[in-house]
Amino acid sequence: MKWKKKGFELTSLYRYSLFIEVIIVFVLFGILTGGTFLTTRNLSNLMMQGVTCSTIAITMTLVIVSCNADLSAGTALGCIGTIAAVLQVSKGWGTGTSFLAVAISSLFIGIWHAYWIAYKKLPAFIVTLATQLILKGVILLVGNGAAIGPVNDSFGKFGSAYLPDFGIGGSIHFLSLLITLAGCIVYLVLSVRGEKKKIMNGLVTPNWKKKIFSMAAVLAVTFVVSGIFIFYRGFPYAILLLIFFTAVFHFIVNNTMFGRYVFAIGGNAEAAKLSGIHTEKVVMKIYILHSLIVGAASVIYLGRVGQATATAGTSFEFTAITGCVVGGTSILGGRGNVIGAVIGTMLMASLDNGMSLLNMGQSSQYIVKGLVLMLAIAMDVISREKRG
Amino acid sequence: MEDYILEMRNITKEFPGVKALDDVTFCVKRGEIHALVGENGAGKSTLMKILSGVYTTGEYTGEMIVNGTRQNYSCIKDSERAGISIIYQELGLVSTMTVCENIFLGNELVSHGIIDWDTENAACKRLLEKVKLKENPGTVIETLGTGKQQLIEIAKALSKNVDLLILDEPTSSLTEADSKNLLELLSQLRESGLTCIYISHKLNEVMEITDTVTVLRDGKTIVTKPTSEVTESKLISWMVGRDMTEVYPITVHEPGEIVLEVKDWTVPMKKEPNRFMLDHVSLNVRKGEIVGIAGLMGAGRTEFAMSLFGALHEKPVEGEIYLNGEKMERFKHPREAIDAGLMYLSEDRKRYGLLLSSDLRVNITLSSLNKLSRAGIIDLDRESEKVTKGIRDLNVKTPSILQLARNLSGGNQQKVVIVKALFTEPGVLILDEPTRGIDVGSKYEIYQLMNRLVEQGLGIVMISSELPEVINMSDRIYVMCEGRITGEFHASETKITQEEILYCAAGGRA
Repeated sequence: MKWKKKGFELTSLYRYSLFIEVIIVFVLFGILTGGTFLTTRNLSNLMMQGVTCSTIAITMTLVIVSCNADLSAGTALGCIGTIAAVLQVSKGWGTGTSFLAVAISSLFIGIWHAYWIAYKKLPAFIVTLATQLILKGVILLVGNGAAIGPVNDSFGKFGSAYLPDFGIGGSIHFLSLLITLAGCIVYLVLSVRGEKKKIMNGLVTPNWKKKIFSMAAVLAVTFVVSGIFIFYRGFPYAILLLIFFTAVFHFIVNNTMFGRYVFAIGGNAEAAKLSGIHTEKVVMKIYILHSLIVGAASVIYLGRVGQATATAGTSFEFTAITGCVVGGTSILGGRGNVIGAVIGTMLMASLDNGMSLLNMGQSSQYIVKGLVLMLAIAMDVISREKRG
Repeated sequence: MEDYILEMRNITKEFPGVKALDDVTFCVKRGEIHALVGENGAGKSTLMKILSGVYTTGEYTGEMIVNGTRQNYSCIKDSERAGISIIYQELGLVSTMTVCENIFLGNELVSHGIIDWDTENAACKRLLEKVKLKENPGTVIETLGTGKQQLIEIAKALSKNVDLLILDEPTSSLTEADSKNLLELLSQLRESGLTCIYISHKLNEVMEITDTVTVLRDGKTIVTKPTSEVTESKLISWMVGRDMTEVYPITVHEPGEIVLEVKDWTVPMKKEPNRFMLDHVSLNVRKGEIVGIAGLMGAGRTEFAMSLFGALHEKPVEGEIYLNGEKMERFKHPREAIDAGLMYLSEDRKRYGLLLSSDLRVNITLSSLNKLSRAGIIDLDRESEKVTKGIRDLNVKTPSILQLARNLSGGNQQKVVIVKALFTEPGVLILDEPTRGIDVGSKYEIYQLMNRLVEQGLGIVMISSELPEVINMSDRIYVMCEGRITGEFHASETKITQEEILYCAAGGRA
């Protein structure tokens, strides 16, 4: 009995862990930095720092949920970025053709992974580790180890620019406020309609009080986060892209056959196959989509930094994987969600940012991040064992 | 006073809800080969697990005496120390290691912590001579056939100074020649003083080699007698003579056209293209008919169903499949079979049927999402509606369709996978052990459901190891043995007896 009770507590702790961790990190850094951490300027920058890894985390979720892995995402991002930068700077390609090059190179990496992992059944862990090495070589080959930049303004816009302001509203960014309000209304309509349908289908017992409370909480968080941008230069395009991709993949996970199949493969690959799912095709699609999102992330990153370097993207995959696990994706597969992964990765960016503000050395930052990954996975695996 | 090497007295072992062993007494004399026979589920494996220390003292009641000392096992190693060694049906060798490495695995001959290869190789050679195997100690296991691997298992047991050797279905995967070889070796080892417990379904082998035989049935010892005093038919009647305690809803079915016909289905064994896992299997199923497939474990029934369904790794080399009279391409993937109207439900619900951490809705529609989606987007409302209706029709007891599959009882889980299968709108449904591990009430409901489905025109194939179930539920029964059909019975003609079926299942032709 004692054990059972402990298991239960651990599980419920796990369920709210993301929320608790966010609070702890923000309060801790807020106090330690004497408030610098919590300024709108810093928080806006922090999210811009986290946006690349968070974008990768969206599809990294699908990869992990299906019981696979991708250790090459960061290097792939660097490689795609280097190719785009070289094409623009040395070959003088335009923005449109550069985008095309980004799309084609990411597609190529996706198909490469799909071939070995989905069809040849090699372990994803090793295949992507090999890709990481290969792509590191390609970066040096294409970029000669030098920093290449700057990229075209129109290309870099997605990573660096902010929504235009029409000068109305003074210190607040009017267009961003409008977008936030519109977003909130869409959210309210969708979630009320969704809840009504759920009640109609008998999926949940009506509990509007609880629902209203949870909707209010979501709105409050939305306003706090949007407020950061509304009071500091407005929404960057990169953040809007992140929100867009998150919404699209949230829909894919919950409402499409493909999304179901991803979870089915991660939950029980044998049963999925016997249920008539072409598991190879599904895994192939996962890697191709993932690669395309990594391509998008590389455009955002290149725009923000302005130039491609030989070490760009190094260890981004670890930040994204940690973010996924912190955000509730099980490293054992079959369970996870996109929104949690994005928030989890942003939390990792906060950790980075806070530690830098405190002038902690690179050495201790590495150690802290490693321990966080370890802890997140331990909690995930232990909570799963307890539930049997 | 007899000289017993092993005395197990009044052994009782309970699992939640079932008594696997009920006051079993089993004594083995020194130097004999003692057969242990019984149907699937009679309790043989449970008894051997107690003897080999898989279940430790305290997990069962009763006493066990080996070589005159009372045994209190706390782990498997304790049984080895007592001089007992067991060779399981599934070989326990590491296929990528050499003969010598395998024989001494876990008991390496070392000096100062370093393996002494010379001594090991020499000892290995002596052991191989004992089992009459002319192989080099450095040969890698996977290059050897199953017959030789079996001998190496025995050599491994001998290396541990075994007094009592347990063989669980040792010849089930061997060719005739290899089996003969093995039986000869066992007789010779008996001469040199080794005691054996021989578990087998093959009664002819039991008659040929053993000195004493014990029959288990439903967890009880039925009889222990010298083999010379019994006959094969006597053994069969002891094995099956169980009370028909369960009730079956008997209805008259009216079989129509043939919906599924399979001709000469032949699948070679993995890595042994000259031996067959399935050997020219032919059968047919009519609309509105329940066809039972009986047989002993390892007869190839599940492999046959999986192979038809396109889910078996080994591919058929011969065989035709007709659905509704139309010749089909052999299915390469379960999707093709499902789309053509053939659905298969695995005997192992948890491993091959359910997504345990997903909810019922996800589980139930997994095979039929294409019917509920447009352009890949699922109509979630219609899905919930259909699933709600589906589980109500089959009386699945669950608080909500969002309940996780792992939280349901076995019977309800079985109903869930049946709903899932029905959602694919099959013409032929293959149910593999549909009532394994579920309670009597749910069993009855599933039988009723099967009757209802055949009335609606479905053809059902039921693979089952429970003879009363096969006999009472089927309109027709095929019996399989070693990958071949060895008998066909019609329920309408005369009352089929369990003895007749068991006779075919053990290899005799009807």
